[in-house]
Amino acid sequence: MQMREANLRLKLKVRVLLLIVFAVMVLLSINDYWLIETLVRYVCSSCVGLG
Amino acid sequence: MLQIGSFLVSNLGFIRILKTGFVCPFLYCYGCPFATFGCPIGIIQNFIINGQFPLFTIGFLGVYGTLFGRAFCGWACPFGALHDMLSPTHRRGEIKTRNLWFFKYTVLFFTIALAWFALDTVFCKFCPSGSLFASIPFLILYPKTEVGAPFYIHMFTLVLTIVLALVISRFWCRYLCPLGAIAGAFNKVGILTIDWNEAKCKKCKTCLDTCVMGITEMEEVGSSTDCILCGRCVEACPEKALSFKIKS
Repeated sequence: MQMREANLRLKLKVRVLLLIVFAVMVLLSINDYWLIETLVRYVCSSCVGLG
Repeated sequence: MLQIGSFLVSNLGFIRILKTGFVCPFLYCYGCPFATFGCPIGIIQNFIINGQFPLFTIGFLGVYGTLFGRAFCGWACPFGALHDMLSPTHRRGEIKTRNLWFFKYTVLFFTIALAWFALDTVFCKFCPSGSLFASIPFLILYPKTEVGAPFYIHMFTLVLTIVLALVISRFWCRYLCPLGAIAGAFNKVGILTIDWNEAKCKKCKTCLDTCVMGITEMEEVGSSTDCILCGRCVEACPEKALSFKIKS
């Protein structure tokens, strides 16, 4: 029982750690937002098979 | 209903200011003239081509995945919604196929490898979601645009996917979607899952019969890379042995 609880606690810690790591990745690369916005704003017609 | 909502939100970009740099949690082409978000697969390819690491996109996918696993495929993806509409009614006439979960990982590998080596968004050139949500609306909006072989390739992949979706439920999501491959990997660690109460279960397998992703083992419900957490099994279970659960 104690082993199971310890295992569950460890899994929860891993999940929280993963969430923090990914959130930090987003924050560290926040400048990429503007690059992606440019991609979304200016449609590349050749990518959609036109032009 | 949620899928219609996500489709509408994905198209708010017709108001120019709502064309954002956020990453979409499902496969929706930013080549769509009204796209609000960026398609993660398209962005990853573009970053690789430009020699940059797609940290922002991977971070976003990680946050989505850790919180919800593959639930966006089941609840929000407009291309998945199309598959739901096309799925064989009551599963009659459906072709039983083997579980080839690794196939979508092969597609993901080649998507990245081809972007690296060919320096082009090769996957986008064939993507049927792009055909439906970008090529066709683009041509409707700009009818004078020159149409060539790439457009017909797009139409061919779309028609082929639709035909296969008519005989194999969620064909694209099961075998080919590279974004499903990424999101599916998070089902193992995702906070949202489907809990199976073995004590209540009468092993009638009604849940597995209703599964649009062709899951065949009870142990895989909620944790398999194929499970899209759509909840059809939860609804179908006569014993209420399945339920959505937040892992803690």
